[in-house]
Amino acid sequence: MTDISEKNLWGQLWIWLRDEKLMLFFLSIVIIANVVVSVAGPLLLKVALDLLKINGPIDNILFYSSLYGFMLILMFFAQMSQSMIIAIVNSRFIHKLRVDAFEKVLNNNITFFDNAISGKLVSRIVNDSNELASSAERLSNTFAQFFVFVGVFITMMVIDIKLTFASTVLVPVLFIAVIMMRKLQRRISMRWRSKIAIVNANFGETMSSLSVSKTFGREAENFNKFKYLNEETYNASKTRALAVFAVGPIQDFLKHLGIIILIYVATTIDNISITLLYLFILLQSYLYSPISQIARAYNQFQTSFAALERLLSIMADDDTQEVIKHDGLIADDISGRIEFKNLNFEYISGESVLSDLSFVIEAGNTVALIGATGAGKSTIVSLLMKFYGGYTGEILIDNNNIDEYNLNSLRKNIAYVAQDIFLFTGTILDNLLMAKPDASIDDVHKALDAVQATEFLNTLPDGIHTVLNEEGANLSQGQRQMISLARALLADPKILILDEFTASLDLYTEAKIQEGISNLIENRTSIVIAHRLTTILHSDKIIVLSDGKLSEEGTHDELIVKNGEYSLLFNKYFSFQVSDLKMKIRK
Amino acid sequence: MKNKEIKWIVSYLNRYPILFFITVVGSVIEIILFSSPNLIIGKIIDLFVTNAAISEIIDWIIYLLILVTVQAIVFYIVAVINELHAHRVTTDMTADLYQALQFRPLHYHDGIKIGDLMARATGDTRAINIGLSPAIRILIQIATLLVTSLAVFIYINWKLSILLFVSFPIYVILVYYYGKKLGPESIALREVFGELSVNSHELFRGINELKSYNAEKIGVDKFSQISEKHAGHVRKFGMLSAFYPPSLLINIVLALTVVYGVYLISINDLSLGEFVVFIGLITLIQFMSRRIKRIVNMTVRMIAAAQRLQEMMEDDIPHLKFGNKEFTGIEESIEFKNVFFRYSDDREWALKDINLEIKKGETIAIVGGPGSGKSTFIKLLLRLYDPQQGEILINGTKIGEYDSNTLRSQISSIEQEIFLFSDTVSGNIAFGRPDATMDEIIDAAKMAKADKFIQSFNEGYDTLVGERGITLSGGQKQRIAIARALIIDPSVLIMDDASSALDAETEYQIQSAIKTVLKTRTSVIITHRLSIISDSDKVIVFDNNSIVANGPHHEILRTSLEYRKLFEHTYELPELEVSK
Repeated sequence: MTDISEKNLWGQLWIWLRDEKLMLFFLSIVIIANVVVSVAGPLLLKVALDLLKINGPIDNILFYSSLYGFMLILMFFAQMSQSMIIAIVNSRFIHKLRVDAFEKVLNNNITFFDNAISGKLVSRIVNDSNELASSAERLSNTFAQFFVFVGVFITMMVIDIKLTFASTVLVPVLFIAVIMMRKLQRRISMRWRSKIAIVNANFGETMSSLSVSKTFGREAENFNKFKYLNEETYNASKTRALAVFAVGPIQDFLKHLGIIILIYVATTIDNISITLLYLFILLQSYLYSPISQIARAYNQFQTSFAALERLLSIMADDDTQEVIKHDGLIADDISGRIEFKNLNFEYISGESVLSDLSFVIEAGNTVALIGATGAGKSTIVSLLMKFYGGYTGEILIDNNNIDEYNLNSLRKNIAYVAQDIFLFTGTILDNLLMAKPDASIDDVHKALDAVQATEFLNTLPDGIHTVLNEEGANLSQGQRQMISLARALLADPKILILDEFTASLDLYTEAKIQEGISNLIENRTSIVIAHRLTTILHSDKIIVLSDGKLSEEGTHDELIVKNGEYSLLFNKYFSFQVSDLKMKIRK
Repeated sequence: MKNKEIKWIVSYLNRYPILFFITVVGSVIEIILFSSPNLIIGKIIDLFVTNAAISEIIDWIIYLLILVTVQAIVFYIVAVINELHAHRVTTDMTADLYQALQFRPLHYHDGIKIGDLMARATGDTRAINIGLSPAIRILIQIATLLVTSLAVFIYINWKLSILLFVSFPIYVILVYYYGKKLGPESIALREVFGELSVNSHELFRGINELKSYNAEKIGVDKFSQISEKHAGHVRKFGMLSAFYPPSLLINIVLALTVVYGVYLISINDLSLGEFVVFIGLITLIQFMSRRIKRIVNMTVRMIAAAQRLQEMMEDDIPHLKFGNKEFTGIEESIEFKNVFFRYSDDREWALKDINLEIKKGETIAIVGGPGSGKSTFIKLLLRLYDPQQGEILINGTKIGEYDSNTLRSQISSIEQEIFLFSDTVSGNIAFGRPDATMDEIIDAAKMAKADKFIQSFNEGYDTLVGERGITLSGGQKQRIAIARALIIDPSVLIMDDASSALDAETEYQIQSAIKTVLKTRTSVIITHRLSIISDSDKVIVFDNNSIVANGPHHEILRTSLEYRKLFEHTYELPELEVSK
């Protein structure tokens, strides 16, 4: 992650806030109004009480006291407007910031996503922006409150310095006490929170593994363990309560002590005006009440600054952004011939994944890539999709380097069907249209027919309008596979990649889906990553990889005759998968 | 309507009567102490006005000092006791919830998401905690403050107290309506926020799909839409919080009290000190009143949380009944006779007319498509459910007559989605037999072909797995699960073979492990691995919730059209024989 200089940070903040100039202007007016009424009220009351003491005209007395009452009501509206304006600005700010961050993150290349945990990205974009917004809201309100504090303090100074000193002597003490107590609280709460986290983890684990516990008859032991952990949280909460609830009494005591000091000092002044003392008692409450808020603001400022920094840092990295190359070649009319020339690639420098790899896949052919886990099969596919860059050598499609193509058009013509199918929440139709937003309903049905999906869709009450749960959990694995095949077919790509996707299907579904696959690979260049013999024997050519190097290539028969690595694999492992049934071999 | 929830919470509070008593009585005393300094300040002001002796004023200052010291101490004690009481109660609730859920039969859990359970256990108990401490304490204090202030006002000057008396019911009504409006809004705000997290999480997880179909724009639009919806709720909630009518009412009451009070002073019906007491107490009410907003919100959440928790803990689900016959293993056979089963009355049969006999020592392979009933069949065999019709007999005795402990220690299962606990490898293997020795654990691992890769870990059998430990591959997990089942040396082994993608070598390892294990005992396996199927004694083919073929592989391959369908695309099959 990149470090953000403070200047950039404020600059970026201003970009999000600059449309709010009018609102910010209103806000400053309201804040000033708030200071004025807060100070003016008590002063007006003092005038009324002074007049009362010298038996002034009753009309004047009532006039000034009514003005004080009026200030009280104005104060309510000033504070209300202040909070409302802050809420409006804040909600727009959070939205802009969030969408900008999201868009920027989404435009990163796959390397970025490989290195990031999606939960963490969500936490940055959603939680941090929310954290920022709510602390910004509180901060702005505290900030406005701070002006009242300053206004009151200056007024007091102008009226009587000695009484001002008496009134404010405990303010810094309270301020420091609150900050220190918060620090202590945070430290102690952390221990408590970690205990709670342990309980939650245990609770979640038990509930997701109930059938295991039940089949092994372990409920009672589970409960004993849980009970122990659960009691631990109660024990931790004892120390926490002692720390957390000390703040309130200390605040109360110091506030009251402030008044006592003020009154005591007043007794030392000869002929003190009682209305002056009362004015100071009234004003003093404006000083003490916001102190804990202001003390907390320092913390909030730190938290929100950190949240903002985190947010900006995931947006700041331009190195990982994808380059579309808008003026590049359009891949719509390609035939689909693929060539890898002397390719070398490593994810982490020094750890070679592919080395000096060269091979050709003729247009319209089906090729099986085989090799142990880590041999580099998926890497080849990812490089072809331009999910990663930074290799040496060349990847050619129709004799043009893939870097010369417009990225969007290239990806549009390569469809990738993975083993783990990812479907988005929304209807089945939404998921299909993702591949081709302008497809007609007829096209969609044709694609579904071709992959044999119509039969199961007819059993769903809402058909293609069925709403999928998170990750399509309301469909079976095989059904999700069929949807993803139809999606690939709808995209009508020249090049198709099947990443060993029948491996997780049961026999029954696999048999069904074979037909759909045959339809799909017709007239396309297909690359199949295979662990199963059934898939391998259906290909035109087999490429055997070993530690990132090309080990052998050829047809099944050629490679068996050659008696090399493939024949070794075949005899040791693959033949094990078939028992004594004879396989149909593609001519 | 809310009575039930409140009664439920009180029943928990009553478990600790002393803490409960201190909380309630202490809160009342504390707020009285908190409001009393006003009376003394009023007294002191009057002493100043009448030019009393300084020494007398100093006396009152000392009383004031004592009072505020006592108040701070009482405040601290009450708040801590209140918090401990709340924690004690919610800790109990969490344990009770855990226990209630754990002992529910599985069909209750089928319809419930883990995420929801977690929200109950974490969010709802916390909501109750906050609702009890400080929300309830502060509610008690506000009520006490209103009542005692009213009493003080009437005592000092009844005319001035009329205003407060009149505004009191209006105040309560305003607070009530405000709470009613704010409550749903705060719930909506949280829900939309959840939507936002879920949505962005999903878009990131599907990043490969988004990129390969050039659908980034669709993703951003989707996110932007929900983000805007959330921002709208943030705004609405902020506006609603800013306009708090009860506060306006109190400001108006304060304003009128000042004007009328000043008038009363001018006609000598009120002293300045008494005036100060009035203003002080109303300011105090205003201060407490600002907190009501949050307190009302907390209370509403507590009631909602209590309702959900209580519903979840209410026990109206029939449990499975076990008999007390000891189960010592398969002597003869397991038999299904005309078994019908469905998960609930409003659903279709998940199994229809199942008839089957599994003899001692046999290996049965089960095949069938998704939703064909094969997994349900296994659940009945494990007696996680009871069939609605027909019966399941083991050694000629109904399965329900055996006691649960011996039954479960003799029938072991390996699930399709393997769940390993956050524990060491050896802890996971010994899950069903915590007293197993290290040698036994290693033997089981060896049989499951897991020993080699476990030894390759730095900490071997002490390696932590699960959420906080290392991540295992699907093949490794499966082999640990096989060892876990083997260590209890069950008489019957049931396995739902995971169909994850494994490289050819791992696949080979697992197949040989499974084959070794199956040979030694009565076993039932759902699998797609052809070599295991052809080695088994009998294959049972499920389709459409019934058994459509039943017999040895080579036999039904010739006789069953359904079975042939599975292979005809890939293999050359023997001639079809018309059944006898």
